[in-house]
Amino acid sequence: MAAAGSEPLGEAADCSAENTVDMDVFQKLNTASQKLGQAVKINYWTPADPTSNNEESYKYMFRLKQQLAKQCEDMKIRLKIDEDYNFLNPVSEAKPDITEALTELETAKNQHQKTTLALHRAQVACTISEKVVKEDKQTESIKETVNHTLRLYSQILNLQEEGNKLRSQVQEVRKKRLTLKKDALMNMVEIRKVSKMKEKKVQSMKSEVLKQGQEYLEKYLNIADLTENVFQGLILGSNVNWATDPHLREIVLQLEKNFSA
Amino acid sequence: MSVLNMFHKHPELNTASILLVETERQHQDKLAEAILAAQRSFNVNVHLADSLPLPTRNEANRPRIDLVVFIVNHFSSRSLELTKSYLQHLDVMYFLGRLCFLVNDARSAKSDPDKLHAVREMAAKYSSPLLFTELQTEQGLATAADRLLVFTKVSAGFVPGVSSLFLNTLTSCSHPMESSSNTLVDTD
Repeated sequence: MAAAGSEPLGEAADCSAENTVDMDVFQKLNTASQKLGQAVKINYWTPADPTSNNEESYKYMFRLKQQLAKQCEDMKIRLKIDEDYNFLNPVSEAKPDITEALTELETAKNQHQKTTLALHRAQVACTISEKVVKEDKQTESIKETVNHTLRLYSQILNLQEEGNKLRSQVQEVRKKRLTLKKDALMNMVEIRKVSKMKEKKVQSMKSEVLKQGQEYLEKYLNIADLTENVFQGLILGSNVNWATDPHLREIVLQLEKNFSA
Repeated sequence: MSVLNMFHKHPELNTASILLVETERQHQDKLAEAILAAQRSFNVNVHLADSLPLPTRNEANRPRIDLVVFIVNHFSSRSLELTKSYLQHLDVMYFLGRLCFLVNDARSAKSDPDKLHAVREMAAKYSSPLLFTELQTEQGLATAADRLLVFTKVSAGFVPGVSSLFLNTLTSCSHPMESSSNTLVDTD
């Protein structure tokens, strides 16, 4: 745009064959307008390089102008904050907006980072493939590292499979152990039950048998006593001399013993 | 309470000012030299301090501070506490992108992950960037100086279209997650 603008001026300067003063003036105007055009082109964003700190250069002036404009904007923002400040509840009104804005911000940040990563990955892959094709000194090392990585990956996969197998085996063993434990518990419970029942039975039987035995014993003891008393009565009553006959003597003395005991 | 204010002074032409605050004054000087030696297209004033609030007797001579950098020594918890107390002396406008935390030598064996975690928490709480630097090597100094200069450029308004708040949203420190222990637990 600037170049097109300067062409007709140049032609005009060439065509007019008037005094050289005019030509000089026009040339000066030409160069100045060219510079202005360039400066306008870069007005939107004047890149800063240390060489262009020359006080008189147009770039420097434009950069300063942009700086001052930006600083004024910052100060305007500060003023606006004071204007908009809500004295009663400064934060709570804007809270939902704030949270929304923050989530949007996070998603935008993550998106940006992801795309940068993808870009870097693509760039790296591109350069590597170019290098490999070019058969440089580094191709050998690249190929070696790639092969090494592949070998490691296959190892990793194998080890993972082994790990999975072992884990499943361990699981099965644990299951079996669990079932065995359960069975053992059940058996224990049954055993206890059965032993308890046996004990009960035995006890009850004992008491029964004992009682009966005791009854019988008492009965027969009584019978024996009775018969002994009957004998004594018989002997004494029959006025027999029992001291001479040993059998009769035994019976009577035993009865005395029983009475005294 | 004297507060360091952002917009109480006029900015100077093509000049930015950085304030480096460090409680123990270990790395300030070297970092300042590196900043001054770095390649830039604007003038830089580097001010060094070991505490805020800044002494009032220099108030008139001091230019407008565009970026405040807190160099936190994460080997001592005292440094962190002091830094938090200094933050009270800063104007609100500094927290919108004109503030930066710097931690040195986070990779060393002496570093305690809990204290590092605490510094990250603080940086995330004030949504400010947290730079991890290696100020022992020359290369590290140059890198840190370059990064700080990028921040100063934006916060001094030398980059049209980019405000310090914009940069802050991209560079602010995020809350550190609870690090889960990577030990495999045998569930037997």
